Amino acid sequence: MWTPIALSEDVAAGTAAPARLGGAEIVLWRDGDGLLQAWEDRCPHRGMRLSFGFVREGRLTCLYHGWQFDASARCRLIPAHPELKVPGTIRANPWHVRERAGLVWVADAADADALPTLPDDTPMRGLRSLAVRRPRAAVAAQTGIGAGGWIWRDGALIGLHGADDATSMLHLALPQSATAEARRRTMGEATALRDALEAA
Amino acid sequence: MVLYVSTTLFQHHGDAGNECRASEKGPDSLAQCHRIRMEGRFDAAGMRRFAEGRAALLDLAIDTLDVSPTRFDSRLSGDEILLGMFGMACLLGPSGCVVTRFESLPA
Amino acid sequence: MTAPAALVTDTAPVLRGWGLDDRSYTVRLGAALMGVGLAWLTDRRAEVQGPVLVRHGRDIVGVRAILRALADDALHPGWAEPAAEGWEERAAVIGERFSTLRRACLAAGRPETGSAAEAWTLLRPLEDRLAEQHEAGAAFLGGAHPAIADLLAFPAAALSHDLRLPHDLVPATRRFIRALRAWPGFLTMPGIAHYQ
Repeated sequence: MWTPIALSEDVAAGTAAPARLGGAEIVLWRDGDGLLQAWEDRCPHRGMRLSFGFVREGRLTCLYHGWQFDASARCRLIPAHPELKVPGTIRANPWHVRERAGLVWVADAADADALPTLPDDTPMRGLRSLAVRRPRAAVAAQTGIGAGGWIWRDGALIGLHGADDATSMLHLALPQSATAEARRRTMGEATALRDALEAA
Repeated sequence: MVLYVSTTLFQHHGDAGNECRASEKGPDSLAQCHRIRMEGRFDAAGMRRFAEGRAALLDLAIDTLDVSPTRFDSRLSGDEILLGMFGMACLLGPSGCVVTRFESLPA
Repeated sequence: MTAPAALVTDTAPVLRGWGLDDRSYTVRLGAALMGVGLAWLTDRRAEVQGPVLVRHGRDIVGVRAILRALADDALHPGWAEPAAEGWEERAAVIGERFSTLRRACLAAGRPETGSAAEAWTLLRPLEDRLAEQHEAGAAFLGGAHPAIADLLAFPAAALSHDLRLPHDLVPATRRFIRALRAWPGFLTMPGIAHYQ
């Protein structure tokens, strides 16, 4: 089951960003070439959040003791023991991750279903992710967003995920051809939608 | 509370008798064998789960010999640096486990 | 771009502040980014009462007033420009209220249940403003160059996890934190890392 959890543009190249899905903590990070990864947000060493870390030379480095993990999630260097050939058992816990329609999608099952069908010929650009202080089920019921976690509305793609039991996040994307005025208008509508959902 | 950590924990022992080859390792991997004993106050099942999980993470072969609410005894083999990391992890331990005495000796 | 050289001279303003106090940090950060030399003395009273700046023989209190005074000596005129739509004043309120909440949480040893709700109330307008600014091509509250408003809001943004408001819920604020952290001269305090 793929779930949208962030805008692609909110994970800049060479940076790490936190996300949560149903309470599970996830780190999203990109190397300098833009390759995206999603892992459990825990260093296998001492449990430090990897999203506090930094990206150097294609590796995510834990801020606590500097353990470095490459794109395969394997730990490649332990600075306290630079001579150590790090065993392959020391690795981060990866999620499946893909980018589609301006959003980042993750799945935890090895046999993740195919992504929802989206028009390939409409390149999308993320607009905004915004938190809603309402449970995912309530937001889904009020917006008509189905189990797939996304819906088209007035030319905008709206994704939804539950960060924790009480908080959801909406993710909006518009076609790249959308005008600045359309983007501003949709931004205002998204804020109004959030406020209406919380007031309900 | 007296915390005793054997000074042999982080030292290399040249004695060929404490070198062994872990069968699951590559042919060039010369491993150390250590007997690791801890005393303290443990949630026995939690301590065992933690120790065996940490050994798996560090690619160490572990043979748990004895676990009780006051004692944990095991034999481990693997890279000496990783054995040291295992010892440090156990000293910090999982929540609910307090290690008051720690010994790591060549087996 | 290189960091402006901040020279501490005998006539440099003196900050009486506390290392773990976010308001004292705001002053140190402001001086560092503005390139204004600042001497500082550890004064535990600042933890409760806030920092004091001694400048030209005069004591200045209140973080906003202190930053205004430092901005007079800043090399770049952008620091002295007030942010549009009253955001300097709003950011000052956010910073002060956040600081009070954070002290209460740290004194309690763990975040209180109500603090996250109030943190939301404080930081949501900031998140909305920063999202709009980003859409308009600006990284900061007033424009492309940081100003006093950004300094006033920064600790609340960067330390919001102290009030159990995790950063995954505020992507525009995350972007803002990254932008200011990358600014030449940036310095840290416990809880705010610098690794750009």
